[in-house]
Amino acid sequence: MAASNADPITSLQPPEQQHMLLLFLPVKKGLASQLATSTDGALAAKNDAPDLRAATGVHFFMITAVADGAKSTLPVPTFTAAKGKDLMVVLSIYDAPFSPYIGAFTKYEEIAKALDGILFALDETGIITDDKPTSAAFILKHGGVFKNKEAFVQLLMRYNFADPTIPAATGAGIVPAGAKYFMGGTFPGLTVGNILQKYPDAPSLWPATPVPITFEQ
Amino acid sequence: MNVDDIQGVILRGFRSYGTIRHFLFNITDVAAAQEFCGLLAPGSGAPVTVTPGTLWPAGEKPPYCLNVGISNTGLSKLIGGTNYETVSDASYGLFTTFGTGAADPGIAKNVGDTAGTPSAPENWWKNGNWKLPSPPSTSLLDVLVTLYAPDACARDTYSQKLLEMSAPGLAPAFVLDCDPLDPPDSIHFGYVDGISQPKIAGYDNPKAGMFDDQPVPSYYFVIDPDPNGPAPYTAHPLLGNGCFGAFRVLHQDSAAFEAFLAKAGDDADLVASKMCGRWKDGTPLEVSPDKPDPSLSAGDIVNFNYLSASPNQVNPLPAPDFDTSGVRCPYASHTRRTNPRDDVKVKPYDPPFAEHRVMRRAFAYGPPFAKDPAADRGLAGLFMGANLQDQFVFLMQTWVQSGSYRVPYDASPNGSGIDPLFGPQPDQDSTDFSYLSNGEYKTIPGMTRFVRTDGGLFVFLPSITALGFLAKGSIPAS
Repeated sequence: MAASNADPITSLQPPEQQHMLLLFLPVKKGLASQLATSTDGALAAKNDAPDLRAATGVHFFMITAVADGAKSTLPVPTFTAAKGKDLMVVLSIYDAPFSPYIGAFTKYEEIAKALDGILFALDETGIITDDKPTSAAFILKHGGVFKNKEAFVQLLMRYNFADPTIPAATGAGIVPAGAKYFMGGTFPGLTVGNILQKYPDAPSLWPATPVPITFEQ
Repeated sequence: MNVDDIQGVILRGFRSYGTIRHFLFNITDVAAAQEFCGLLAPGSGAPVTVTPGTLWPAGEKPPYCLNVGISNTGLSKLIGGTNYETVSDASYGLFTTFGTGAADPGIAKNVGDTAGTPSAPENWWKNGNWKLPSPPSTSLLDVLVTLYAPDACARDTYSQKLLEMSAPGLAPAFVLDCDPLDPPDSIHFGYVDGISQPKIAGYDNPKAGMFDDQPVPSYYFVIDPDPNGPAPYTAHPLLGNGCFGAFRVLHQDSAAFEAFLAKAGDDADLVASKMCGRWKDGTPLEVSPDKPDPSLSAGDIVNFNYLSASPNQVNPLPAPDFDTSGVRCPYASHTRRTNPRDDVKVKPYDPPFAEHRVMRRAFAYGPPFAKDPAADRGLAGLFMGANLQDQFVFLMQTWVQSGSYRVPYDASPNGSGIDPLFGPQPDQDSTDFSYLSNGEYKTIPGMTRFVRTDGGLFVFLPSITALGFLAKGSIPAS
């Protein structure tokens, strides 16, 4: 093993922390599957010119659709849509608190349109009225997420199971004060930006514009 | 841009008027306070009125300048709760911070006024300038009026006129004078201040040499309520041509600051420059890393980048690295972290950082340290932007208080986790400051907190048109 003078990381500023998003979005009946596909494609494609990965800090995301009335795919109850609605579940781990950095997404037209597309598909009947500033209908009526990023954050947090988002914990049983859930992290502080800067040849191995990858069985 | 409708403090500031008095008022009679708003509008015939952004004829200066700001409580009183809710709902993003207020524990923590520390809101307004019989409280502060005068005599004269106008409806709650130091634009830590203000696109400022060359779209400082416009926010028409500001009273512990510098011995001036990013006369380290350079023009001291030379930049480091590793200007320094310019390595990568720029209108209060070491002193004034959350709060939260760009870019041992001109919070362990001297990093231990927040208030600076609505207690149609 190579000698190192580095000390263990014992303190992390908010921008270096990993947080979790676990959204359960109520979607108009029949739209969840289509929405999941289009959202996945839009978010995955928008990385180049400029390369937003260090700013947005998304390590991974998973989007899955649950149709109205669909049964669990496991032998135990899992995600269930409300009666008469579909459900879209979004899971992501990302760097830094969400709110200060949302502008890094919404200022770009392609991303803003994709996020507006999610709002179009939401069915907030019985949850919030259309005249409230954080409702999907209100946001869409007043310029979409580009002009309403703070309201959009509040909308997301309404459906975020992991709200408040939880910094990664280190070591078994070590949960940050105030956290509702335990979330382990093997490399706390290893941000997307750090990976891109520190890992040899990272920009070549993982170009800003993704290339097709064959995941061998 | 309709400069006649915009408060001059937003567009140009009044730095040549070094003698200033900040009045924070409590509204005692709403109808009279509404009338006061109407009187403040230029052309009302009142003894003192708001100074608009209108350019002055060459060689002519008004005898005083004045600006007015309204807090969330003040706005609610002036236009009523129902109208306030209408404006707030139509301006949701802009009101998330303004409407919550500077004393809210969450917002206070984000900007460094953390509960349990001397800067916490419960400790504000207690530096001897509170005027009301009731205990100091941010919730009592409704209206901010700042008066700029050429000298103390004129300040007293126009203050008296202002107080006669305001007396029927507003009671002075907190009054603070700012007086020029030597040199006039400097602050108590000895640095010349007010350099590199954002240049507002479309406003032809006569002192543009002190402004950054890259213009910032005007809607970041002059609120644009056009629902189809380019501004990344929604705003009720009442807010049009207005701006928001964070009024701050920042006590500066000159004794602690000077004691820390003294540990550097002969390197004290160098360390001071590394902490700030500029020599005390304003010379940028990027342009002149070894000593101040009084021969630089006003343009030279704002014309520089960190990762690539800007056109006509004086003495840049060579390509391709330029100052990527912070050998001239540390990443930790105050100026590099609060205005990263072209530095795409500062998170978030969001060039050209226009949406996070802040217009500063702050001045020194209290006597010079050498004259009266024990006296209260600091910096007070406005830090402005159309969106407090994206501008003032973002800057304080993500760049001044934290920062995440220490490795691998920063060649120094600095953590970059704190702004050295503020110093570490009690719960932060970054008490060392490292600087490069003769090719070797040296470290000074024992950095303490140098700045304490003694007051904070978020205000809306209305347009001249909006003053008319406030005078009637009404709002324009949405």
